[in-house]
Amino acid sequence: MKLKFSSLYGIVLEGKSTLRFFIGAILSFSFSIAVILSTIGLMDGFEASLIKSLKNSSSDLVLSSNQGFFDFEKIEPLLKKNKFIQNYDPLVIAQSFAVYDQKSKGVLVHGVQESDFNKVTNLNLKFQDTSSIAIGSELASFYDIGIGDELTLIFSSTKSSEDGIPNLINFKVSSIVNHGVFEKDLRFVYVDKSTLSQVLGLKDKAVNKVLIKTDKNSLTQIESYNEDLSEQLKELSTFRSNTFWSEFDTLLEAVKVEKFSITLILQLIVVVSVFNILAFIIFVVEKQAQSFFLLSALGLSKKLIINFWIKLLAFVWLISCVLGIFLTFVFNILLNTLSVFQLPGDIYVLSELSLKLDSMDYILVFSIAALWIAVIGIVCGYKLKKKSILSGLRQEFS
Amino acid sequence: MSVVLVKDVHKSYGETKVLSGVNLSINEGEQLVIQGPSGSGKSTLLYLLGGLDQGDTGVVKINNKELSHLSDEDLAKFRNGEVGFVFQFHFLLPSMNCLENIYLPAKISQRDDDELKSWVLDLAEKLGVTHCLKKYPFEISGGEQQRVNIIRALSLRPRLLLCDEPTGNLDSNNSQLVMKLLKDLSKEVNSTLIVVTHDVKIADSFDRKITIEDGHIIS
Repeated sequence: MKLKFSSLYGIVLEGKSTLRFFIGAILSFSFSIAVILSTIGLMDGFEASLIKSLKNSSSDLVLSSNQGFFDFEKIEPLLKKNKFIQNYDPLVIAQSFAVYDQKSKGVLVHGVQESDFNKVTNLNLKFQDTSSIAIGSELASFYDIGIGDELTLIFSSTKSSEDGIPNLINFKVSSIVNHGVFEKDLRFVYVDKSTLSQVLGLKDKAVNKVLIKTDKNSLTQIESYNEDLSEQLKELSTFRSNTFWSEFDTLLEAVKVEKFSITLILQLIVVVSVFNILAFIIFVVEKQAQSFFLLSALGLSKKLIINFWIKLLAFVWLISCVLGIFLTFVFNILLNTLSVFQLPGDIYVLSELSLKLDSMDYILVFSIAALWIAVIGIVCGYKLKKKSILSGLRQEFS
Repeated sequence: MSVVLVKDVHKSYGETKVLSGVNLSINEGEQLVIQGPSGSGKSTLLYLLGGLDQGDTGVVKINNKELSHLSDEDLAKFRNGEVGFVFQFHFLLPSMNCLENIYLPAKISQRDDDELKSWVLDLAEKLGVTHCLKKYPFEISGGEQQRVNIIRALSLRPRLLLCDEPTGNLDSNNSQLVMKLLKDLSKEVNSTLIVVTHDVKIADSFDRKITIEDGHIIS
């Protein structure tokens, strides 16, 4: 015969109120774990989704000039010289107003060469002819238009005799693209490069941006290619190269800092739930003191009783972690399915995102939870060790 | 041969002196009663003998083992293997049935032999509580609960049977019955029986009586 863990467990959880208290303490602890996991997951998810979306809608590197438009022929030999550059697409980008049904919005019109552009991005644009355009999904929903509808773009006239007079051109929407970045979906319009050059009165080789696709996907490698290319561009003084995420660098950095500070602040939630567990243990120790002191009187050593408490706390930690993962999983599903969880894209850049958690996140959160549990264990163990059997018995009998 | 030896034991709880220089020697198999008014220190002395507490100074030797020299682990083993406790309150765990309660000391020392099982069933029959074994403590009477408690105390055939007001919670019929059972059974297992009581009738039924007052043995 052996005094099983389940027998002691039965003594501790004797009575409905104790069981309810125990379940409540575990739920609150697992909920706080889930809150921290979800927050970290959201932060990581935001970073990962933003980078993924930016990469999908842009190339790896973006080359531009301080002087605005430049002659692409000046730069092309350098691009061809670098083996790591797989593809490139020179662009013409101009500001414009899009008008439809008496509503207007400022947009950035990108003049692209369809096949080259599709090679350097994952957008898969389709122009039916030179007078068709592709627009972002948010812009389409802003105007409530679809493929086949006509949208008017307003450019400033390039003729000196018509200075200040707008140049209105109608385009047929031939495709609607989803960048995954709210501002791009709302503001970006794509048109055939030669058409835009003609509208703007530009020479054939005049461009103001070049999108470059490299042979690597890792951010570190792209960063290193960027440094390499920037070094080469120093000779041409007016040119500069940037990574595709550079314009969101500050935001990404802010998310990292926020992740750390929020994790610290959320420890408050853990502390509250830890107090719940502590309250449960104090409640059980007081309520079942008679039973534990009886077991001591019958020969159960304090060491074994403390071992039991350690096992019970480890059990609470384990169950809370498992439940925490489950609650985080449920939150992720809700985040992706319920409209109430959709982000206001104009504030958060992305209109939707998923949780992203890696093993380090789990290790970090579970270790902190274990640390708190250990603190409780040490406090309880000390209190139990300090109390003599007789004082326990007397206290219970009185 | 003396199985219990107490030499000049002092014990205080804060400012209150409970035992002041107690000396006592009890032989193997002896049956004695410790009597005295409430707060005289009789229960404290009993708990010192059972290894549930320790004196501030002095020596408590049981079977030549000085209890103050034992580690927490060894003291637990001593309580489990050599001492049987019968408290005033039945003190049965409500989450276990009576048989599981009886087997608690055996479970703690991981004993699982047929001899133990047959001894427990034999005791249950002698004490007339066989029908209670599968029941939970709240399903049986106070007298039956105390008899189950006695079986638990005797289950591992302890050399020392310590009873603190074992009949304090029982009516006079049950008191006489329980006391008789305790005496008979402790003789059967050759245990030394020490009973603490303030019941004069119970005390009178013992050959050796020790009276404590204000922490001193006065007779």
